[in-house]
Amino acid sequence: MERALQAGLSGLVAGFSALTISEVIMMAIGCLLLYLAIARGLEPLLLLPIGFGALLVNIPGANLMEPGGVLRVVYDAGVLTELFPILIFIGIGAMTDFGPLLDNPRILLLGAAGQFGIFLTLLIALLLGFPPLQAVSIGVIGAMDGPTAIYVASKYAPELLGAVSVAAYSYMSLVPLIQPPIMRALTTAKEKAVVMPAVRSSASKTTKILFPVVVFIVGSIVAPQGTPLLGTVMLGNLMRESGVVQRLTGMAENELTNIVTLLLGLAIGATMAADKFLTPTTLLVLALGFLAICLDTASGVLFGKLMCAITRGRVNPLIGAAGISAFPMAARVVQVEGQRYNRRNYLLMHAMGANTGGQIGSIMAAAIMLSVIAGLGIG
Amino acid sequence: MKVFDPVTLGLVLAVLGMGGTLLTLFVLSLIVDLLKRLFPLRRELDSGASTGPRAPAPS
Repeated sequence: MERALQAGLSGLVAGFSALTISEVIMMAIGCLLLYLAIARGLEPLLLLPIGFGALLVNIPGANLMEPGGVLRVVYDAGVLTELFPILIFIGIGAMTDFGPLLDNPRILLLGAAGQFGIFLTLLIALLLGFPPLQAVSIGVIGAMDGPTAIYVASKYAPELLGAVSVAAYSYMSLVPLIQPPIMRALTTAKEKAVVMPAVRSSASKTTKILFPVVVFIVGSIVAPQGTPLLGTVMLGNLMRESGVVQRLTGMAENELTNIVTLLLGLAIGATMAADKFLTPTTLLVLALGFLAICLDTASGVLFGKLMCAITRGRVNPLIGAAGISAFPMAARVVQVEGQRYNRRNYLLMHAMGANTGGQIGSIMAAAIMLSVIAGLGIG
Repeated sequence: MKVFDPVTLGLVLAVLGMGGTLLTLFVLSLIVDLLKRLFPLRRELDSGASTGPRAPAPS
């Protein structure tokens, strides 16, 4: 009887006895992510499941990421196959209105300039000694586009997926804190106060329907490796703009995106096991991700200054900061900063155009990088 | 897997990546201009087919 009690009790205390300091730290990090999502409202749709996934995977003895474990099944089915980010892109396409971008197509260039940080960070990561494919995955944090970062990391550096995803989504939610100091430092008072005329709707329904088809065909021919990314986001947008499959559009915007977001968040959290996440590499990835976002913002604003000079002061350089993929936070930041220096300035629609341009730019930049990597024979 | 030194690889990716992204998006912006010329908003407005949203004007 006594022996049986001892044996039964050992099963109950096994979790405590196996608990390591590293797992406790990871649980604290998981709780921090939950706090940021719930109390601070920072990207709650992803940080909440990621945070809880981090808790789940660090419970000693639960073995949820071992072969046959439920998180391993979800991870293998959706992340390892790159399926989840691809499905989320259909929802993003269905939710995105490219109207402001189509009204002023030149703003697409800001969406390209806003991606320069990706490549500069990639260069720095290579110089710091990261292997090429890991450096690519770190650079893509600068795309400020969660699904793109996850897609590239799961393809090329799954060992960094947790750090890359947490960096991408955390920094995306911190855009209102990260961007303004850079915007203020790089522009003069006169440039900040430039008033841009109101955006007038100028794109016909036919143009809006043809736009996703043309972007997909041109973009995929230029960078075939990015076809899954570009194809799914443009499929979602075509569904939206055509107006003939409203049931599918509604499903993509809501049920599909919601279910996949939950599973993706849990799967990412599941990569945050203590033995894999608590490494100096993770800290370096987080630091480089931050640098990438700062460089993106700086390059966008500097390109905005160039456009301001070329157009003789008709473009407010602040909208360059919205040329990243963090939608619509970056556009809102530009609007707030513009109003701070000129109360008559309404930059929101221009910034929305640059922001949707940044969404296309981030996918295009990743696609081009994947294709160049394939061309170099290292992918 | 081919081996490149980090500086060469980084510079190649940076130049082709930044240049390629900028050039592709520039071409896309030209195509959008062309589409807008081929299918102007007014013609569709006349036929009652357009659903393009109006941007809010500054007050």
